[in-house]
Amino acid sequence: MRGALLALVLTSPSLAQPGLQTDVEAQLADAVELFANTFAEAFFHATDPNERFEVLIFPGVLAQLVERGDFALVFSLGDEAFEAELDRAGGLGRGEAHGPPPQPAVTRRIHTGELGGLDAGACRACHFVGGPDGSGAATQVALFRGDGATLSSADPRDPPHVMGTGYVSLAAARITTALQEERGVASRVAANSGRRVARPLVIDGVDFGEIAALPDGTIDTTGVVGVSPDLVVRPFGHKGRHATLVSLVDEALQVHHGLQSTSRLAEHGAAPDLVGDGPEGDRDGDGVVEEASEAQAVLLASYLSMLGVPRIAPPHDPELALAWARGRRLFEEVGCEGCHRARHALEETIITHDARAGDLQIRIDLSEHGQEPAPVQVDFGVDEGGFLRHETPIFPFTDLRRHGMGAALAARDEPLPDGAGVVPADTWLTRSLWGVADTAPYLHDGRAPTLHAAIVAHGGEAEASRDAFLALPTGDQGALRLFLASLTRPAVLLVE
Amino acid sequence: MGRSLIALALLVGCEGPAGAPGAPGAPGEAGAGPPDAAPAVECPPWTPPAGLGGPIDSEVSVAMAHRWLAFRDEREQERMWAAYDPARVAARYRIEQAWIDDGCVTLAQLVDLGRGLFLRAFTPAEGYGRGGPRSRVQRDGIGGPDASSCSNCHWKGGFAGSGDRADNAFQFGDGERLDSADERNPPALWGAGWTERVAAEMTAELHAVAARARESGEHEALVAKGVFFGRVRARPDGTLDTSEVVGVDPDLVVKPFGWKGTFPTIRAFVRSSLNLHLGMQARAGDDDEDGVEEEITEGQLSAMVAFLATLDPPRILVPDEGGARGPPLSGELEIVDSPEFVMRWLEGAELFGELGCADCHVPFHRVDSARYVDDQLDIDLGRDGAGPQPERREGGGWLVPVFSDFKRHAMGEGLAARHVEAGVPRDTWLTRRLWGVAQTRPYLHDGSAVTFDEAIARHGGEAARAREGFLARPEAHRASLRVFLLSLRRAPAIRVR
Repeated sequence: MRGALLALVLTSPSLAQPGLQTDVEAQLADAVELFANTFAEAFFHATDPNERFEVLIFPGVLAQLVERGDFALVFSLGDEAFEAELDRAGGLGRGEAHGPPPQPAVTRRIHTGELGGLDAGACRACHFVGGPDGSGAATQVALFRGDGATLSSADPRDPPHVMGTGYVSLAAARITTALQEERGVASRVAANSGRRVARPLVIDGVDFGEIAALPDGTIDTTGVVGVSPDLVVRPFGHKGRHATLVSLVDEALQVHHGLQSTSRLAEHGAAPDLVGDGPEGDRDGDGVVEEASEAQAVLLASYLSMLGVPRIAPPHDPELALAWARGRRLFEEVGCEGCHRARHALEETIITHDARAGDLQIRIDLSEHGQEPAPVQVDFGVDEGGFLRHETPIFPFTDLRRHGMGAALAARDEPLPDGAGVVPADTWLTRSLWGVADTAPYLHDGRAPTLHAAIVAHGGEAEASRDAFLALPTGDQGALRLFLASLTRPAVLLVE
Repeated sequence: MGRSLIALALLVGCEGPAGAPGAPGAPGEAGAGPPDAAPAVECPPWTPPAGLGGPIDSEVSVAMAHRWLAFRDEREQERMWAAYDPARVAARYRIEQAWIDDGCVTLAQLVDLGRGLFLRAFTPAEGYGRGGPRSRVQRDGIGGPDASSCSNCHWKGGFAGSGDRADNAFQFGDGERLDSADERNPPALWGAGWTERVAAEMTAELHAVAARARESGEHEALVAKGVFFGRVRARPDGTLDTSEVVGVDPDLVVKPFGWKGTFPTIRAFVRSSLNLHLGMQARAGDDDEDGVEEEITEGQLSAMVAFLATLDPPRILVPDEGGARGPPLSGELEIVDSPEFVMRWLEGAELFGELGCADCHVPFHRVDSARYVDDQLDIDLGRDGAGPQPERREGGGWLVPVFSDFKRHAMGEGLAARHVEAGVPRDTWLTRRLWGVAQTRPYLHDGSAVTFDEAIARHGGEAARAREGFLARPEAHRASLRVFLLSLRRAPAIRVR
């Protein structure tokens, strides 16, 4: 029995990841050093006229850091930008204030259309549940696209954790490339053959429908499912809203903090419904111009992409460990795995962050600069052609595809910010489940207080799986939930 | 009587009754044993939840790190059990007051349970919610629920800390409109036991004055711990004329909890918060009609009170090193051994008094007794409360650095709330305790102020003069005051996330 369990543990690739640092003394020493720096730095900032943390970065500075290859510093500056609180003088808010400076900006938790509101002064405020860079609590559910005043006008979204987002980004980009290759093949064959050509879009077993091309070069996307007609996989946002971390962050800075970057303004400066109708350079009308450069989103995206990944925690108790193994099997049998696909394989680990405006670009090799626990490259020996085969598996438990989830889970139609169409009200991107144990409450609006409630709320394409789950004996339902509860994250030791 | 038993149980040690195999019997069944003997009753079979082993000091050591890591691991395992078999784990989190009264629960177990409940996301089966969805804007008297656990909103600066502005509660609203509600930032709960001790002693002093006034028939000045609360006089018919009482309710009970000072005890505000924020009612019956009766027992409430009461009090941590920027681009802060910040701190401490901040944010109160006593508990904070403790005074008593006069003040229309709360006027607030303020950004009742300057600038009413004085100061002086405020914090502690 014990031997079987041990084998199970050893062969599970996720568990081979360095989850927990075992050297407590070293961890503590790091934590103490971090505390000492933070403590001293806080006093340093207190003597600054603006009590301002250095959260804003200029493109030239970031470019120089990258040129020097100092990704550790990029990470720590990004970390600081994620944690530090903006104030009104630094561009926080959208013009509403309690009075002339130094009186502070007014919080507005219900957003006004796409302009956003003022939710918090720092990213961390809504990403701490379960640990640093975690998810948001029930109270931190963002109230998007409302009238700025009434609860029922808003479209609520629960903040997800942000660990492993760099790797998810790479997995999504890989699918995007494959989909677009199929499109290219279809249009070439159509042009050459002079007839309509339809090709199935099945990438690594995930079905995205079919793409058709006409001899005149027209592409017919009516058969495409689970991804926008432009065949770009957008892995961020509950509905699959953003293709890149940079785009996600640039929007988040405005809608949650009222911080408008030059790239945001360059991109949408002419659209008052997206950035506001204030004077040029200060569209949000808070009296602060050039609130952030285009490097801000690149810095934060770089930071996010270098974060480590969640882990799988094995139960210690033998009875529980066996139930856990049963839960994993049931996860597949019931059909959860059909959408919450456990494994993706990355062929490369270099991620690129492009500013939305200007020519700032950062390339980071995550296998070199990614934080622990980082996914581990696995070698498969030499293939038939004599090439060394290796890949970096990750276990995010999502197919990165959108699915119709039924009327009960419908929110409202969501137009994508880059004009790539509208995601229907009942349609959601399969939520990644890595780290899910630390992300209660669950679902897009945090309506489900327990894993059980979250499963039961599944409908639409997931209805059959949900019914299969509910048809299981109580003990098996428990085993499946237990498996989900083992999808957690590494412990972080802090001194504060 | 239960009180002495708890103290006794702690002396006996942390050995829980739960481990004893085959100890059946319903709680309280055997009645109460003699107060100063080991429990003669049969204790119910109860497995305590994952715990740290009682109140936990703010202390940085390898041993403490191991303790925290073990706690986290234990919680992770417990969470898996909870997913597998919810009822099994739920039972660990529910105790009856009678078990405590019977001496079946040690203080360490009680505090561990309280901490666990504080961290716990209650489930609908346990009574979470009101049978419907959450509501971010509360309805008056009914609440949201708007959160799923206490720790959702009390997390900054460690367990039971403050909340971010994103966590603001919208209280006394109509369940729909932001503008119908009063925005309240979750305050930090550190040192809550010591806070209640100060308030209780003040109340006793005020009641003694009232008794004197009844005897003398004269006007008597209401002074408690040096803070002036107006005057009282006995009317000829023996009733008390409280028309000249200021800063406290006519019942002369100092209520230290809630932004407006509306709850006299930890137990009272925990009971209210559980109902408003989580839809968990700590009383018999099913008020919220979600099909669950007695969602929180008095025993669970006692556990949460014990946890909060024994939390460590913040202190003053004078910076003994200076900071300097390294060469541009490196971004690294170099810490140098320089008395720069010590000098700044000294100047700031002076200004805190000179500008008048200390008139309301009274730095220290001396309490005679560290015995935390409420309806159900009796805990010696001086012995069993988490450290570091407040300074002990030679003549007896303890010096509690709360930085508040525990009195309500009118703060001007700029800080006025929308609603009169429990009879407290819209513009009137209890002086916020500033201990730990360095870790409670953003500041003020609505969490609107990100910087100390912003917070001070919003002071008005009775504090207008102090604010003007501050704003008129040169930047260098203001910086020193900020350095002083930044020294008010919890002792460094280990946390595991």
